[in-house]
Amino acid sequence: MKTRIKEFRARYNLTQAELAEKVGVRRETIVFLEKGKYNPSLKLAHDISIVLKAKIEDIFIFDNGNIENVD
Amino acid sequence: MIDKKIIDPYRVSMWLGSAILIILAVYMIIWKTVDDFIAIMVLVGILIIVVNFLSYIGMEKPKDERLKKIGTLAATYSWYITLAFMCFLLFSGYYSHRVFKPAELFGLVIFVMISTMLVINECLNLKGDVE
Repeated sequence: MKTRIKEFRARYNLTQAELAEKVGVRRETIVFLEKGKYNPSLKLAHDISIVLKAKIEDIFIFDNGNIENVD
Repeated sequence: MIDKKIIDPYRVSMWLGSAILIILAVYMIIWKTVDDFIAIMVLVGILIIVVNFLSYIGMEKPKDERLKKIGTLAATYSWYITLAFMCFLLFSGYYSHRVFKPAELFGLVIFVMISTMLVINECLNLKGDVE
């Protein structure tokens, strides 16, 4: 999974610590999220998307692999 | 946009408490005895760990879901390894007719429990996630 948190953070001039405080996690978690090393819970992804005023799928880019939709 | 690294006081306290307990555990394993100073220091080490443990694994303020996942897994593995180790001690002691002294047993269990929890927690923390 890749994320565009850093890009969105820069857009709103937010530091990692400020974003962490707004979504209720520690700064290290934001660091690991930006590196794509941590899969957040849906709640955390939702909270980050609200703070950064973007859709979850715009911030978190998942590799869909072999998963296909019903069509 | 990159912040300076901040030292986590709960992590430092946990390492301090663990260091005290591990040193005392090694002492008890080697000398197989406990005196007033050792007993008080064990109590101090355990108190430091008890006070900081829930914050260290992100379950109390400041909460953190990543530390909670990592800490829960580390504590589970630690419990599991300690249980297996205690069974091993029981069987090895029984079949080798070796009598363990209480201080030695306590030292061994404390050493395994604390060291596995810390090592697993730090390894997962470096990795970032449990997956």
